[in-house]
Amino acid sequence: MPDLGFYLLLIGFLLAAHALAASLLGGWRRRPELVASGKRALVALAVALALSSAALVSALVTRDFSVAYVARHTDSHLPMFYTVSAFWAGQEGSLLFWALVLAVASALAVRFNLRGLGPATPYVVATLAGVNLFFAVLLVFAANPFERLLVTAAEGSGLNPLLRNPGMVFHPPLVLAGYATFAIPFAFAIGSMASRRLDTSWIRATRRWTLSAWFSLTAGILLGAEWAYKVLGWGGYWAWDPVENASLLPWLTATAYLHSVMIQEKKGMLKIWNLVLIILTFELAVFGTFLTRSGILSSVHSFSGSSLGPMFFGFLLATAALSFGLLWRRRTLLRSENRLEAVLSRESSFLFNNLVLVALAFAVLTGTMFPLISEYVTGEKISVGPPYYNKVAAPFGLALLALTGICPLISWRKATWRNFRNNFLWPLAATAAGTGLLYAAGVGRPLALGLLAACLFVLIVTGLEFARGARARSRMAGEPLPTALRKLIAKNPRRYGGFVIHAGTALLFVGVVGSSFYQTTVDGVVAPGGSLQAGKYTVVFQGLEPAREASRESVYANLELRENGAFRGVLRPAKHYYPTSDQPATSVAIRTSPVEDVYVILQGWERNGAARLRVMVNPLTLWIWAGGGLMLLGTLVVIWPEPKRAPVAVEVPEEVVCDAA
Amino acid sequence: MRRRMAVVLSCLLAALAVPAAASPATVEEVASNLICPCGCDNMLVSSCVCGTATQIRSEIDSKLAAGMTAEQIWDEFVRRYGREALATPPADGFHLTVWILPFLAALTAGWMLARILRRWAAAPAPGESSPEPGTGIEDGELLRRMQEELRQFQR
Repeated sequence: MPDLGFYLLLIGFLLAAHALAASLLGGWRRRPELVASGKRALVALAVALALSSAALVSALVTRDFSVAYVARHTDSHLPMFYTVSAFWAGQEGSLLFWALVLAVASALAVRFNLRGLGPATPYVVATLAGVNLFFAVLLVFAANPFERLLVTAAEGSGLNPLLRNPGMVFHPPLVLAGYATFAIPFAFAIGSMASRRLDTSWIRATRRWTLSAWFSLTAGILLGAEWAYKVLGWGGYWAWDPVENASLLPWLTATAYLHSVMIQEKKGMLKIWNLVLIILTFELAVFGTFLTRSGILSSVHSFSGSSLGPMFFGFLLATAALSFGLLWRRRTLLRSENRLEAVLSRESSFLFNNLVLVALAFAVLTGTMFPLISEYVTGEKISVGPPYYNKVAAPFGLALLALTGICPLISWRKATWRNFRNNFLWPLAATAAGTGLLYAAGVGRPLALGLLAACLFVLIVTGLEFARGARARSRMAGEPLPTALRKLIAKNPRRYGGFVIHAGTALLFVGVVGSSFYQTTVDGVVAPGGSLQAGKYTVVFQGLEPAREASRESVYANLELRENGAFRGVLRPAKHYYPTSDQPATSVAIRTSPVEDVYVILQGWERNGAARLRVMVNPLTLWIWAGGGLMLLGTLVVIWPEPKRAPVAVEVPEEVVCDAA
Repeated sequence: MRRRMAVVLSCLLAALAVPAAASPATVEEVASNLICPCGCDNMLVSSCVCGTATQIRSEIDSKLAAGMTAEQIWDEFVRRYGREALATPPADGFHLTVWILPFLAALTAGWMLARILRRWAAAPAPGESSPEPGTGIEDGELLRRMQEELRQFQR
């Protein structure tokens, strides 16, 4: 069975090579039957990789310890759910997963999204085939998941205990699927450039792909943050470590892209910029995989130790050179069809939003790569830790939030000072009043106050958009308000889904401000019967309780939580010991409420039975998950098919279909 | 517009450069500028859950109690582990790059964008007659749009 899996990879490699050669030749010699053969090869490749993945899953669930990957990432006691998730727990498996998502997306895209692209078709197929070929080469020559051990292992070494958590089961595949799916709009962009067909057809054909990739990456990042918070147990959700940063980079450029394509769709401007953004997004997605998988940042030696690093690096350089080279050669064809009518317009606020997003991505990239660069230049090792990112990202975050609020208030094309003033007066006044209240309530740190004010501004502006639209609709159609609101969203999913995402972002930032500026941490060694005080909460320690469980031994600390003296429940943080791992896993106890989380970590214990506890009060953390959920919901609304519109004689004025992805 | 942007951004830069006020430091403050030497990826001593971090925190506690300032404690860790121990990259020599580059890039890009916008706005639109621009999203305009939408799509 594992051998079959490898042969399927080999077949996949040949199919990808065939697809590349056939589509290129077909495009060059204008032989549509060759291009069609390339398309079919991509579909066959998806089938081959699906079967190969099935072979890996089958090796995992039958616990075939003759396969190195299975022996390294599972053991015979691992629950079935986690055994299947080991598919993407290690290097070889996660690369196979990447390739699988890419191949399936490629097959679907060439089957369903190429209509109307005409001359671009062969080059889209060729680009997709090229990317698929790279991953097939990796799997066959450098990271074969089906490699056999010389001697079948008697027992596997088990899944890393930190990965035994539902959040960690879904976080990696979502991020990987997001990365892989960005290859679709990238390939369509390259195909359009190669064929000189440079209208918006490639953008429209891949809109849902880009949004799906963005959805998947957003969900993956959020789940990763939640996993860090609930499982890693250090009290935070984002540590600015290189792998986290790597997932943020393509997210930022993709967000910029989703906004700036609206200008091209409406006005035929920014063609070059949109191509730059989608190329960057794809390169950064591959770069993210490269960072995660090559280990280049933890040590330069692990990079040269495996052949994966150089292969990824070569692929990145080659694709970047080809893409930007092609863009340079087509630059004269990419002139804007329109001019800007005024500096003060919604178009320019989109451009500044793009500027901030890309500059933030650049700052994060600089910080991530700097330890490597500075070691190379000065020979001294230094760290770029969270304090750096928090300082540098704060002004960009503030600017971004402010623009999110300002943007819907500025008219398209040209805003006059008068309507500018009319639109801004009430939202600004309300924001000022709200900010005053926050200040009176004790939010004194200027940066925290500024960020919260910006969040409030976004929420007010967004609320106002919904209220105005629904009221006008209900007045015109005589519909009750809830119906009017529902139909308003259903008729303009792009616009109003976008606003839902904006509101979600603002809520998420509220949670970030609360939990990062106003966290309370108390450490203490507590004897049984003793207690620890954190703000208005008291944690009473009753004693340690060892327990023998299915696949691990655990020590629980039994705690009673009191708020202002009143009993609020029992908390049981623990440490778990797995026979397959040297490091104990920490499991934190969290009591969540919309106002704040009480978060208790059992750090260890003394001989006399006293517990070393850390009690944290994290304000507003729930808002991060709620805001993130709203962002995902909004994305689903945006992806939702727009209502079919009957052809109408009256041109819908361009203001009607504005905003949002 | 350009000047205003420049002013705003340079204010932000200045705000960043101002060091934290020199009030008596807490363990948390000192520990949150130190990278835990335990080998966890870029974790701070203030938040790392390993035993090493716990030890270092109690060490910081006793040093603070002995009257050492935050700077003196950081210096001592730098002597022990090298400048890699500090979570904030140093702001001297070549390392200034990491602090300046992101803002320099953003400022330059902002300045270029402002120039481009002004040039675009000055150029006449190629053969486009603009029907009274600037009718923003006032209620009347919105109403008209709504009416139109409703007429077209109401079932």
